[in-house]
Amino acid sequence: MDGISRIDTLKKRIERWIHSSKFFLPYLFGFLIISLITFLAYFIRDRITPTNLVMPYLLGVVSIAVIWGRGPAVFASVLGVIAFDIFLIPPYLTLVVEDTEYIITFLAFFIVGVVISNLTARIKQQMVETREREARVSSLYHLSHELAAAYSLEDVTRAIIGSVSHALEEDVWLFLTEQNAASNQVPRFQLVKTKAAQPREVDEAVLYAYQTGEISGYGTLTYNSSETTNLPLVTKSGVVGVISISSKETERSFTIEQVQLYEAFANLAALAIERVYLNRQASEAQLLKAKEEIQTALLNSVSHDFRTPLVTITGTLSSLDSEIHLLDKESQREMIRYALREAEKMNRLVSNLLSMTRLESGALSLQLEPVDVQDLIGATLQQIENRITGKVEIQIPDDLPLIYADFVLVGQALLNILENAIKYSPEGSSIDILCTCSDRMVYIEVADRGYGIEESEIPKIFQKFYPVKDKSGRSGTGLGLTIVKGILDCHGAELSAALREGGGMIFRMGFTQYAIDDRSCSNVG
Amino acid sequence: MSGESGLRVLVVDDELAIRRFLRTSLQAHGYVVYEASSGEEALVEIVNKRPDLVVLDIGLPGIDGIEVTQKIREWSDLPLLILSVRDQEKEKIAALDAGADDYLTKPFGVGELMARMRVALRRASKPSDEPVFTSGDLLVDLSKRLVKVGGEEISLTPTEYDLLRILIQESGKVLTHRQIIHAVWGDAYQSEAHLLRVNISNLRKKIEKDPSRPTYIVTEPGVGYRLRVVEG
Repeated sequence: MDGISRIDTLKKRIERWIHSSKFFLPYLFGFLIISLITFLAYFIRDRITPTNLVMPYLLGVVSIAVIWGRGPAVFASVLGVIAFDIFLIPPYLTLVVEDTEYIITFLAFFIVGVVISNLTARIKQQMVETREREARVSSLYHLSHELAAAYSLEDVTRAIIGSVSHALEEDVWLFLTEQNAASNQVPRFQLVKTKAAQPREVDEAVLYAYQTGEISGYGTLTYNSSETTNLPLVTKSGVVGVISISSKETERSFTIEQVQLYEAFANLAALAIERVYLNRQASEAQLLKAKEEIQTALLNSVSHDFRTPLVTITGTLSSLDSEIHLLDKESQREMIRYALREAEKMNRLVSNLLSMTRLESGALSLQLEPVDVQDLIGATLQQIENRITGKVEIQIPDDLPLIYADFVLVGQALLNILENAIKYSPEGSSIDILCTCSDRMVYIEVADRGYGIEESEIPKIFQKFYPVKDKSGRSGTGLGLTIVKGILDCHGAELSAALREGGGMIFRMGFTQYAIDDRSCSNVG
Repeated sequence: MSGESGLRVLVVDDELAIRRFLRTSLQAHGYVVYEASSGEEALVEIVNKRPDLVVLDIGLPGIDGIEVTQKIREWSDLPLLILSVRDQEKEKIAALDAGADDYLTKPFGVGELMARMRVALRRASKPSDEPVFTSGDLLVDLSKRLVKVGGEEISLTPTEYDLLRILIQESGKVLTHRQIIHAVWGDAYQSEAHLLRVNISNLRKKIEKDPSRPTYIVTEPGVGYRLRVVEG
C-alpha cells in the first residue's frame, strides 16, 4: 500500500513538472536555435557580409514562430539581435557598434522578427479558429441531418440530446411541456430526456428561461452561478421547452461563438419539436375529418334507406285509409302486402345498423357453443324462405364436424350473404351452398348466379358503406357484408369472395372445427 | 276460426301503442283483453282478473318480465307468452327456463301470435295423454315406442327416441337447450351441448324429408328447438 501510493505521488510530481515545463520548453528551444545559428555564423563571419548573416536569424525566428508561437519568437528576435550584435558585428563581444548603419539593421531585424512572429501566430490562431468553427458547423449539420430523419417526438428528443452532448462533450438535459394536457389543465413542464448520469429537476434558472424565453445560467446575465446554461426553445407558438447544458468541461471562456453555437442548437431543436407537434395536430385533424365523413355518410344512408320504405308504407296505408272504396279486394290486399314487405325491410335495416354499432363499439359478446352447420343453414333459410325466388341446392357431407361459434351471429352472417346473393341475382336464379372440411377447418360456400362485380372491386365490398347498385337500381346501405366481416373477424374465422366461373359470386367462410369433435369428413362431390 | 270466445288475456307492455294493437287484434278474435303497463300492475291484475293467458313484455321498467315470470310460476301454471326484442337471447332463455311457455320476437305478425297463443292454451286445457302423435308424415305411438315416417317404420337410438318424445310432449312450444338436456340426459350433462346438436342432427336425418330444410324439428336460434305440428 505504501509503495503504491509513493509511486502515485511521484507520478503526479513528474506530470506537474512536465506540465509546467511545457511553458518554458519553447523558450529554451528558441534559445538553442538562436545559439546554433550564431555558432554556425561565427565561423563564416569573415567571408560573408554581416547584413547577409541576418537572414538565417530571420529564418530561425520564423520557424520558432510557426512551431511555438508569438512569445518564443519575440524572445528569439530579441535574443537574435543581441547575439548578432555581440558575435557577428565588430567590435566583437561588445554591444557597441563601429558602423552606425548597423543600427538600422538591428532595428529592421528586430521589427521584422516581431512582425513575423505576430503574423505567424495570428495565422496559427486563425487556423485553430477555423477548425473549431468547422467542428461547430459540422455538429450543427449532423444534428439537423438527424432531425430531418426523425419523426416521432421520441426520435427528435433523442437526436437532440445525442448530437448536442456529443458535440459539446457536456451533459445535456431537455425539458419540455407535455403536449396532451387537457385544455383546462396547465401543461406540465418536466424533464423529458437526458444522457447524463443524473436527471435534474426544473430549477429556478431553467424556469426563468422557460418563462421569459431568454437564455439563463452559467455565462449569462441571469443565474450565472448556475451549473448549467439554459436555452429556451422558442417557436411561433411560444416556448415549448428548455435545453440545459452543463458547464463542467467548459474551461474555455464563454465566447460569442460558443453562445451562437448554443443558440443554433436551440433553434434547430425548437424547429424540430414544433414540427412534431404540428404533425400530430395535422393527423388528429385528419382523423376527426374522416370520422365526421363516416358519420355524415351514415346519416345520409340511414335517412335515405328509412325514408324509402316509409314512402310505400305511408302511401299504401293512407290510400287504404281514405280511398278504400276505390280499391277492389285484390288491390287492397296488394297494397297491404307491399306495406308489410317494406316494413320488414326496415326491420332488417334496423337490425343491420344495430349490429354495426355493436361491432364498432366492441359491445359484441360471443355466446360460443358447438354448432351444427346443417342446423345453421336450415335455420337461416327458414328466415328468408319467402324471399327466395329460385332453387337452393345444399350439399353437406354427412359427417361434417361441428364448429364452435355464436349461432345467432354466424346465422346472421350467413343471412346477410344469402340476402346479398338474392338481391344481386336475377329473379329465379339458383343459389348453391356447399360445405366441406379439411385440416380441421370447416368451410361454408355460398355461390350465386348473379351479376357479379368487377374483380378489382372485390376487396372493397366488405368495406363500410361500399355501395353496389344492381341492374335494377336497388341498392343497400352497404353494411351487410361489412357486418359479415365483423362477425367473422370476432370469431377469428376466414372470409373470402371471388368471381364464379360461369357468372356470379362465391362467398366462403371458414371456421375452426369444434375441438371435441374429432371427425374429419368425407367431402361431397 | 274462433272458439277462443270468452277466453281472457292479460297484455302487459309499457308501450301504449303495442297494447292498443294487441287489444284490437285479440278482440277481433273474440278474446277478452285486459291491460297492464308494468310488472307490479300485472301481478295485481292476474289476481283480480284471473286471465287464461298472459302476454308479457320482457323489457318492463321496474320488475322485468323474467322476475314477473318467476313470481307467477311460484303459485300458477298459467300460460305465459314472452315478448322480446332481437338480440335478447339471454333474457329469452332466462324467461323460458323460469317457466314461460313460449316467446315472440318484436316485431311479429298477428298470425304468429295467434299460433303461439293457441298452442299455449291447448297445453293448459288438455294434458297430453294422447298416445299417438302425428304431424304431417310423422307418426309416433308413444305407448309402443313406434316411429313412422310416411308409413315406413324407422328405428331410433334410445337417446334419439327420448329426444323426440320430449319434443312431442311439448309439441308446438319452444324448449330451451337446457330444458332438453335436463330431460334427456340430466343436468350433469349441461356442458355437453354437442351431444344435443349431434342427436338433433341424426334425428333430422332420419325423420325429415330434407334435413337441411327441416319441417318438424325447427331451430330457434340461440334458444332451443320446437317440434312443429304440421297439418295433414
